[in-house]
Amino acid sequence: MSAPIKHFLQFKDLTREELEYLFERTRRIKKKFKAYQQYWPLTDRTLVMIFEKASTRTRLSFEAGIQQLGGSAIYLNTRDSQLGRGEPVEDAGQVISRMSDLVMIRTFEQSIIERFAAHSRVPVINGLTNEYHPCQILADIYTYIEHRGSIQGKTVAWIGDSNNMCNTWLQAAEILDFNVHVSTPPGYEVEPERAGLYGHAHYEEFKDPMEAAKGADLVTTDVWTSMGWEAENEERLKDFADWQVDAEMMSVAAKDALFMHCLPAHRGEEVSAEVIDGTQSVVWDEAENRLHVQKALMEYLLLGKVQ
Amino acid sequence: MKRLAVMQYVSANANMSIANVKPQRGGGSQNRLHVQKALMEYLLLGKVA
Repeated sequence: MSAPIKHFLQFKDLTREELEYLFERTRRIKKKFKAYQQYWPLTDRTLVMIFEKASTRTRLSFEAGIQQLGGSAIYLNTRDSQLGRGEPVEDAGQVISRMSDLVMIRTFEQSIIERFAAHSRVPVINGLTNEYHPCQILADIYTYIEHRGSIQGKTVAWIGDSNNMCNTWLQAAEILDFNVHVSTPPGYEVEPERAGLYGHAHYEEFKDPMEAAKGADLVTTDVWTSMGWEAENEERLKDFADWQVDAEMMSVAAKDALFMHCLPAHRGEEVSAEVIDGTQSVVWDEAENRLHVQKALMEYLLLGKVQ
Repeated sequence: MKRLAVMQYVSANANMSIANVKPQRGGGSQNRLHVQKALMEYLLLGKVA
């Protein structure tokens, strides 16, 4: 009997065991890439990438990734697709998935990608929605493991907006058993239901960002104004002024704490240049690892576990 | 020619064996893909075995 289609729409779509498998596959696939070793398990498979929001790293990492695995990618932007506007998203799911082997979507509401996937005959990957950014968190956790080993029992300090990155960190904490200290300005707090959490056991909210960073093994943040919230930019600049990750904040974290940022970054806003360009920052490894984890993810969704 | 030989047995939805999907009737949009592949092959290579 064949297995059901596996999608990656939220971080919690994968179990802890599956995630551990993916991280190990990522290590092996990255090693092959670094050794210029040809690895084409997805020969003649076609990935369709649908972008309703701007992207640099996501397009690059998925397109390069599928090519390096022997497949090819087709890029559709808002003018070409307009999910739910040009035609019902359910119809788009039927049609696009009948001509391809894998679909990656960057869109607005999570409900759009969920509806698409419900009508897709091939796996669908979330390339960012308003609510979640699971591929980025896969890369972030893999990067942590590369530098420091298992993330289980560690503390991640999330400083800034409770956006799609924050929500996904919180989901990951429940599955991989680590803790998240969240500090947001008043009015920007975590919405547990929107974050899709099972409970509060793995995160704690702090009014003072310095308190959140204290003793953390990893300090991470994101832009103060995420895509889609640009109209609030001026107000957010004022509201978030005290939530910059700077050297003083890193000094209260654990001695060997890492700094991560999913990029693009605004030096002087959510992070000081001294921190993002400093010795504790692993942002370039983090960006590169998008490529490697997504290759492992595509391989898994299409082929299941391989030897 | 090597790539063509591979394509002869690979199609979109090649992962259907692991993706609990039953072939559906009247797949008009999917058949656009398949007839156009046959058309391109014919226009470029003529009749093939």
